[in-house]
Amino acid sequence: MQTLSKAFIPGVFLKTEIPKAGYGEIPGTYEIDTPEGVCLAKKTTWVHSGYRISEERVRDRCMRELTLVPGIGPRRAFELRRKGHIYLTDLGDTCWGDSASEIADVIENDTPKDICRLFQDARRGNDPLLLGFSHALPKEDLLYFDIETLGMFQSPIILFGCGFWKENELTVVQYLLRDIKDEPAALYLTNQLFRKHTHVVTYNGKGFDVPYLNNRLSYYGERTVTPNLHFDLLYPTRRLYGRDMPDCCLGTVEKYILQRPRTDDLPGYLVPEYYQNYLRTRDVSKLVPIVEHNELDVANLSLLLKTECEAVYG
Amino acid sequence: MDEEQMYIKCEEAKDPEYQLPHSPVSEKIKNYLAEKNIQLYSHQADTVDHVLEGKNVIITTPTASGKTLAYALPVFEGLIKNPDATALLIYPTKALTRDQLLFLKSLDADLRARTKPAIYDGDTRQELRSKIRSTSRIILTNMYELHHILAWRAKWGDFWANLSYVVVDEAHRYRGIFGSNTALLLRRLRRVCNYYDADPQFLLSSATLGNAGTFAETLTGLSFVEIDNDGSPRAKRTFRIYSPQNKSSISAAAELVTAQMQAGMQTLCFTRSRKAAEITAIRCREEQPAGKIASYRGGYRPAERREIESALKMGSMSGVISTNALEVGIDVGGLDSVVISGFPGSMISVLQQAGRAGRNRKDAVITFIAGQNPIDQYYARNPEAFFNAPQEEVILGIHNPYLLSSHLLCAAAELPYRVERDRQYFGEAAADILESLKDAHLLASTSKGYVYCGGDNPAQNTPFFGMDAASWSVRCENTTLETMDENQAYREAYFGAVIFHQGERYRVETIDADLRIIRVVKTSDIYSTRPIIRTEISITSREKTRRHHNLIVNYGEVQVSSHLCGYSVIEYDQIVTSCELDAAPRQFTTKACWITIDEECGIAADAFPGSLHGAEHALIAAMPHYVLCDRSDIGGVSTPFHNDTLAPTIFMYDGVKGGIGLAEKAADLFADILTFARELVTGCPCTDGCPSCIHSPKCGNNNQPLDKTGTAELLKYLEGESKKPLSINNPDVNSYYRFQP
Repeated sequence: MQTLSKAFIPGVFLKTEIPKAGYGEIPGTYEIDTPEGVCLAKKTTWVHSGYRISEERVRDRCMRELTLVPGIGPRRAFELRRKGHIYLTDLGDTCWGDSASEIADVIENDTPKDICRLFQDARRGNDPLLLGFSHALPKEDLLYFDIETLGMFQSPIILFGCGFWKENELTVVQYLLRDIKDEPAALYLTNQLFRKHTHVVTYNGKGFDVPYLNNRLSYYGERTVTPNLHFDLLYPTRRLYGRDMPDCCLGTVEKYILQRPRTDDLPGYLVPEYYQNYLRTRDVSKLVPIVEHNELDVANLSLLLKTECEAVYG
Repeated sequence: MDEEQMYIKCEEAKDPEYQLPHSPVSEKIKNYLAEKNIQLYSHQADTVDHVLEGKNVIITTPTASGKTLAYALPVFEGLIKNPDATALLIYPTKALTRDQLLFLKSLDADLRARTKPAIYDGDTRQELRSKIRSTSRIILTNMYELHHILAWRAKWGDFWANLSYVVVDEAHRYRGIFGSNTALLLRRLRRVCNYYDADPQFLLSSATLGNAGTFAETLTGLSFVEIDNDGSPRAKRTFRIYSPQNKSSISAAAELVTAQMQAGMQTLCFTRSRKAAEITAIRCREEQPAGKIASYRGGYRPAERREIESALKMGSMSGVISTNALEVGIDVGGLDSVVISGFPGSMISVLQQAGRAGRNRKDAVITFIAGQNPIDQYYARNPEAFFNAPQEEVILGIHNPYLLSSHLLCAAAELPYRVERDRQYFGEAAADILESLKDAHLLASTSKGYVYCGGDNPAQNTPFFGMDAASWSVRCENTTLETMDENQAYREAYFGAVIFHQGERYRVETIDADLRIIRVVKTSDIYSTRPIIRTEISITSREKTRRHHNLIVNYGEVQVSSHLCGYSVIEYDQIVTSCELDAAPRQFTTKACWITIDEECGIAADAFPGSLHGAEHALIAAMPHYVLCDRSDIGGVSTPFHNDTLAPTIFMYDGVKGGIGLAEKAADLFADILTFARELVTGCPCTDGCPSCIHSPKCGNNNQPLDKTGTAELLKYLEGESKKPLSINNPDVNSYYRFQP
């Protein structure tokens, strides 16, 4: 396990924003037309230093995971390694030879999704090792995703935060509802991004953001989304840093791991209240902190993913 | 038991009428019937025919006439023909659901229909749920669960898309408030199914009703065929009506149950309340070996209830004292005898309870013990009225604004609400409500329809159905004894109250309102407690006045607040002392009808408060008879001077927030209710008032003050007014005055 100081590599993290006139007091926003209506969008770009891992390296690391074989636990794996069985392919002459070679075959030749499924079967679907694929596959395929809602499972999503790479810049696009009637348009645009970028990066998105999105899509009778790979950073974060932090909220992670404590940030639990307040009063200033909070969440997702990959792969 | 105090009537045995269905049924069903040597009764064959023709049916034959097989056969036929088809079976209680599951499972196995019948309700384990949703073609549930399931529409997509049959068992239970709620829920179910292009058929089974057809139509919004040609055989049944003298109905019931058990008759006794069930059981236990007798009621843990049911079925339990929780069709075997301790509120319930005995064509004895309340005593004095009571009509409507707005919110959270499309389910009244919900920022208008945008779960806020959330648990040390709803907790589990549970007494020690936990300790004291609740009422608006000749009945919105100010300690049916409590009042807005009384009605001033109070009790006692509700669905208040009417006033109000049309109907039928109430009072031989006429078992003032003679006079006066031609001296009615010189 990496220690905190070693894990933190100060990245160059610059926000390149051109202030534009926007909706009410929210700078940089503009309207987008869709077949499902109009919604408000805001685009910002962020730059941080690049980082790549070769796919071979990720596969190589997976190949060392002897515990993927049914019947091999951590203790036995330790003993096998001591005897010189480092890779799955080294188990050929042991009683696990057959299943090990099947698994090794998948790791060597099959798609990252198949490898993830292999880990899932071993109840390790959220293993930090797998994060390596996020920086091995074309980064244009990644979609960083975080939503803000009205609080209840059956109520609308009011802000969709999506981030993706364009050349070496991280573009954060946010779709904001000026009114609930904008939700179908925002869902449409988000759905488009999910079709274009096949892998999704979230913080607790397996439990929350993606099922919530799908629930809203099916509410309106639209097709749901199924990301190819889903990198949910909550579980790796728990594994890597859980012991060093009081809790694993994204805010805490930012403070302890990214060492970017937020100042003047709107706590997430106040989002529904602020938005309801905006709906009643039409006071746009209530929206600004929501949008800024979400924007930072999405941008930090990319930083956290990179930090964790570096922590695992060095 | 003294034979002289009993009225006895025998119902002779009846032979079966068999019939073959006209429609062609599949080989599987034919073979099944042949193998099991089952001949269908006429009503069963008719049901099969009508369902196979695609009609919605309501079966209203008596208890134990084989209704389950009647609806199960065509459902299985449909599911065998179409291997994707699904069916939803809705039962009023969890106990009945479990009982029916066994039957359906065995039928499924015999027919090899591969429908995998399964229960999906609050007790279903989380890890099994997804499998049941995706593999079971027959799902058994209840209305509460359905209400919450609909919110997860997306997960149930395949089930709804293939839903072919909806079975509602014991449909007459969905009456009054609960019925209106259910009617709206079933409309939501139909709306979701129609969204998936499914249009399920509805099969209802019900006790005999005066208005079964219209009832089914209101409940579901569809048209129905009524099937009532009962072809089932019947055992000889002896009905007895017994009015105990010089002892309470509880003692009488306990003695009778004990005597019958000792004579080797397996006996099921129904009581009117949870507490009565417990106390009766305690009295019986004094003379019975342990394990032979049990009490049974809602609030018990499921395992405890299951144990009692199976012991009763196996015959190892020879006596059970139950509330109406055992009234519905759980098969507890063929009992020898049923004791009905106190009129259960409707003749439907009487027949259902009586129907527990005499299954399997075994002769049975049914005893009705008249309690000390006006209706029971009326039947004791007029036993013929008991057997010749008109078929009851069930009231429900879907226009209650409180219920409608709650269900519209749920509907909008399930699917965007489109006014043109969804009008067919919720009617024209929905439009105004939608607008006001939009103004309240609970709904938003989008291009796809109205969308729910409130901050909490609308399903939790629906009256009646949302109640789970507010369930209180009663704990003794570390075990949960039972659960109760908020209203029960307020009235039964106040600080110092004694709670009964399976023959043990517990005293409430602490109440944790945040966690909804009531902590109790076991006590060996022999007293019980009764709350003293003061009820106050204020008029918000008068919506209409109904004239019955010279009597004016007002109807409108009122606010009722009930305040628990203390409790009486009771030992051996005597009040020993009273304790004061300081609890926050509970308030709600509802609909009421009220009459004001002219102070010159001829009753002496000192007798007036007692007469007014007595008249209120008599009217409340009579009202359920005309508007078909339980006495607990309505409340009454009387006062010699009311701040809003500036006169002596009697109120009768709906016990549920927003009202459900009970007071409204009472306003229309007031003259009949008055006559009935007057007959109750004048027909009673007592001199100073007794539990049989003007004493109310529910009175919040311990039946004080009451004046029998004055009550009779007052009711006579009011009855006279309601028959007298319109008088020009009544300033409230009259507009001729203006033209007088």
